[in-house]
Amino acid sequence: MAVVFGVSLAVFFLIRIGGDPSALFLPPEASMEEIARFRHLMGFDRPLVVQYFDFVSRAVQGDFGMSLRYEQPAMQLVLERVPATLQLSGMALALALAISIPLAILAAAWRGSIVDRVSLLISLIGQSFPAFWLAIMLILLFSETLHMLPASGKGGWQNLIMPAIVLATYSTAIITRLLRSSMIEVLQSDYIRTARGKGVSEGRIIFKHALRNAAIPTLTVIGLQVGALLGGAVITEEVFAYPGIGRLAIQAIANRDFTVVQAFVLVMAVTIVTVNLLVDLSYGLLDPRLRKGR
Amino acid sequence: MNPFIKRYLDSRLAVFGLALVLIVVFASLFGHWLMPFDPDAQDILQRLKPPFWRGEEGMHLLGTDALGRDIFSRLIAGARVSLLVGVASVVISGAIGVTLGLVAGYEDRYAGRILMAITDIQLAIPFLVLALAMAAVVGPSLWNIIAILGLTNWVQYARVVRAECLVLREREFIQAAQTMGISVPMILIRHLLPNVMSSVIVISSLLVAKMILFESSLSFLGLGVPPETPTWGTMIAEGRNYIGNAWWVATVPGFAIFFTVVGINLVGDRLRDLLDPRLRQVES
Amino acid sequence: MKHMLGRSFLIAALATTVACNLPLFAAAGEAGTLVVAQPADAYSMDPAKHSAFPTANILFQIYDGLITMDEKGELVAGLATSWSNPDPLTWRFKLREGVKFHNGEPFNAEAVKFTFDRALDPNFKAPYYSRISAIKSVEIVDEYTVDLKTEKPFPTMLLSLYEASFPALIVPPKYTQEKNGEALGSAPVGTGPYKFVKWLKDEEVVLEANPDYWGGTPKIDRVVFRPIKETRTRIAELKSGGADIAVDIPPEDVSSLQADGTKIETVASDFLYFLAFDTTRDTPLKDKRVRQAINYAVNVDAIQEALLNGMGNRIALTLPSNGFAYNPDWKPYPYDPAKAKELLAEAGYPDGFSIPLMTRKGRFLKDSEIVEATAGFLRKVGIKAEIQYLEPGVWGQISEKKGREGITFPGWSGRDPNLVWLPLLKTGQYQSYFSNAELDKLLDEGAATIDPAERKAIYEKAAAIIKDEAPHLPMIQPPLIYGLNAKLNWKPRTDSMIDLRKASFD
Repeated sequence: MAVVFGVSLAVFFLIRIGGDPSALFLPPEASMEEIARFRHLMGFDRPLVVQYFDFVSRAVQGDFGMSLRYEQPAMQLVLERVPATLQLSGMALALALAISIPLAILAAAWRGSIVDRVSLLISLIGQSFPAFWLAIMLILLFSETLHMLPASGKGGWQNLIMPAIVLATYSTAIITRLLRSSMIEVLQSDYIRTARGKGVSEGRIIFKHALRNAAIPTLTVIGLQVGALLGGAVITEEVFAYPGIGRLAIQAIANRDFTVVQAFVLVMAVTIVTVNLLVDLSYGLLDPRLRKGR
Repeated sequence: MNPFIKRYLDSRLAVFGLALVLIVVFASLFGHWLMPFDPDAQDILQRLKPPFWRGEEGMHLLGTDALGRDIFSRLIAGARVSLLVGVASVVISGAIGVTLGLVAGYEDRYAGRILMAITDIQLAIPFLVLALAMAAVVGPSLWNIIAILGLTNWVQYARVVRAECLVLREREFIQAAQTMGISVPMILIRHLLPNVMSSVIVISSLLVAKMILFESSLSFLGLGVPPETPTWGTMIAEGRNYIGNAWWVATVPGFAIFFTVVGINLVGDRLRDLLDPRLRQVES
Repeated sequence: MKHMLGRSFLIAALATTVACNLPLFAAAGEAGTLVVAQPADAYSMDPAKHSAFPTANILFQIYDGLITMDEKGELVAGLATSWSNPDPLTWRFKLREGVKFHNGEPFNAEAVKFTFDRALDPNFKAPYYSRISAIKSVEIVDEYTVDLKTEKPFPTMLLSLYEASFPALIVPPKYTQEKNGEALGSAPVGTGPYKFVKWLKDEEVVLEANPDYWGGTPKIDRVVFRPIKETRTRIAELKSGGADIAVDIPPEDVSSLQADGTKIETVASDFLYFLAFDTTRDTPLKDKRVRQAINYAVNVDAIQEALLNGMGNRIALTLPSNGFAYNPDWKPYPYDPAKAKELLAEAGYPDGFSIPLMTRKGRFLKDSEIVEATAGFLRKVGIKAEIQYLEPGVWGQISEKKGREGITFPGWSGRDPNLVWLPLLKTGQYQSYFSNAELDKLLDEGAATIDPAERKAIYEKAAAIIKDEAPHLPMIQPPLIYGLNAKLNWKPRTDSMIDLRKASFD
């Protein structure tokens, strides 16, 4: 809660340092008087502190103000787009996990094998690509040249394929690398050696013991990746013209649509804080020893 | 040979990475002797010429861009700026993050809690949105971009350094220093800092790679370093509209970023393996 | 690298199965649906409540103005059928009879009065208020006649009433007042050729033909507007059949798209590219010879040829060639770098000087490339233009504080000297960084004269002063370039508004 409050405070003042959007709204030939008149009508000529207390006193009652551009409640505008972004980042996360988990397990089990090298290459390449570059290349190949996938929009699940791949690339790389090295570490630990000595089958060792222990650090990273995915959605949504909150945020920043930026950041902060809380809680489920610790 | 270097060189991939990094460093240090053309000299009559184009004043090794500037020369000029952005912003975020981490790790009652709350707040705002808002407010210039990247990426340092300090401060030599009455800043700098340096080096090397990518993302969104100082990010961002008919304009700087980042990551990974095996589990 | 290839083959295989099994591209071209891909979405469905052209493109299909523009760029009858000036302060409009709004409300003088009264109410906060604020009152003469009253003679009234003056689109009085006036913003009702169906923000706006349209039923049943910011993505949609009109195609792509069977429509816009010089501060730009030197130093024709594929119009003065009082005999300064150097030396700058060049980026077609190419030419005569790209919000702040120093690339539009020269060149105007008493007098005269012949004579004199004083470097009316489905018949307008009233598929 304190975090969310701090975020709102920081963002409120940050976005206002650069001045208000009156001049952006009016036609280019608008006069000084016209701009001053509009500024007064919008209430931007009041002291910042007054504006902030106004914002907070309304916000605690659930009123986050009207979007300056859309003339609609800012929070509603943001919440409208949340499902689209969740769908996209959910698909990207699923894709990242579907590739990285089996790859990392196989790589750790057969260390030094071809699979292991592939996993290293994928994690290396995956985190070295500028995302927008990959996005444009995919569009060039699959939409412009091969006409196989729609380049933009949000119609069916086909529209999700390319954006999800772009969004998943970085996370796949990070999760693969991390899960692999955690698995290797666990596999070398004493208690796995003991288990092997007792004649427990290799499959059981990997899936029952090693994976479970390696899951904990990996989960932390997945939690952090959710934040990265939501942030990365900004670029992906922009290139693929996907109607999610990232695109709304970019436009709101460019238009100085303060209320929308505030609502957006609040929603993001709450989401990220919640996800990290869930991750913390799930440690306990995975490893009873940790229930008391952290 | 120094055993550390020897062990580093054991990995062929790591040697390859180091070679890539050294090429970029070399280009940025001695670039002005390597550039066949003035990177800002335009000739709009020779625009968008393909690689190996023989112009009036010589061969354009990697072709020319939308204003007829020599891409090879701009690539070299860009190496310096891209690397500067990467290194300088890492220095800033390292300074902030390490300081906060040391303080928070040594004294975790008041300062520690406040600092960690700031960390959580920072983490709860997506980096790109924060950077965009800041760039929109202060305007994009080279040093503004560096400052923005530095100010938005210190969290990882703070977290790792704090965690290590929490362990270190229970160790005997710190306890001893405390009883000897050494001042807190001295303890932090003289005794704690050297012990967290290896983690800091590893994080820094990997973060440089990320910063270069971040700069290109900001450029893509139109808020990167302005074009009179060419960075690879700006070059891709400006070249992307020509991809349909002059692929090299955006592809060449794209590969420059890709190979540089691969190189830095390989070096960083190797340093991590050698310096600090524990850090394997730290997300970069 | 091998492994990466392997992965992309996997993706390709996956994608192929998708493409074979499902009808992916049903939207465009079929069943009389027209998809327009433009860079931004609508902000509001209320014509008086927005300030953006992409929004106006959508609203113009739903609403009509009193005046409209034909294919040749002439202002012609819209919802008004004829007009006259009973006295210099009155514009009398006869209205079209028998027109109904989509919800059945009748269009009449009351609707016109309501529309303007609403937008002119200062508390209504119409962003484009100033475009129509010369109108002081609207008086109903009879059911189908209105008088628009002004305080001073207002020669550009017709330009203020057509679609590009956003709040001048006519709205239905009864419906607009429902739900505290919020109904119009999300579910618009107009008299236009298309009726509103749905608006999914940042995704699409769907419209369907209005069979009772007074101008004849539109030939295409359904129209979809999609916001796609990234140029490459718009082109990909155009090429793969996901869009029938793609707005803002880069000049470089024209020939390859045409070779691919895409139709290209292009027209020189009303927009003006020019450099403006700050003559109010103590810089070299205060000297007329320096300003003239800059005019000689930049090869605008070469820039147009190289960066715009020769498209668009070269302008001699900051006025579009379809603007009022434009004279085709006006000639720009020729490219003559030797003469430029000579003038610079005369003015006391034989080695040139450094000066900031402020602009925005990615706002207009090829803006940054043109500015950089211009700086390249200036460098050749010794003037070092230090380019600063300002974020639009910051630009606004700087303009407001009168802080545009040195050279700027502001961009402007307007089809009358009164809409271009007065705000940009008259002493003390908000956007003006120039002062000349004689010119001020002429511009004031032009603003107060209704008779076209008299006005032309006045502006001809003003043009001579502007040419000699060179407060600008006039450059180009940039082209508007659209990529079209090869089966689509549609012509663009110079003001960049998209009019689908006459669009049809083969």
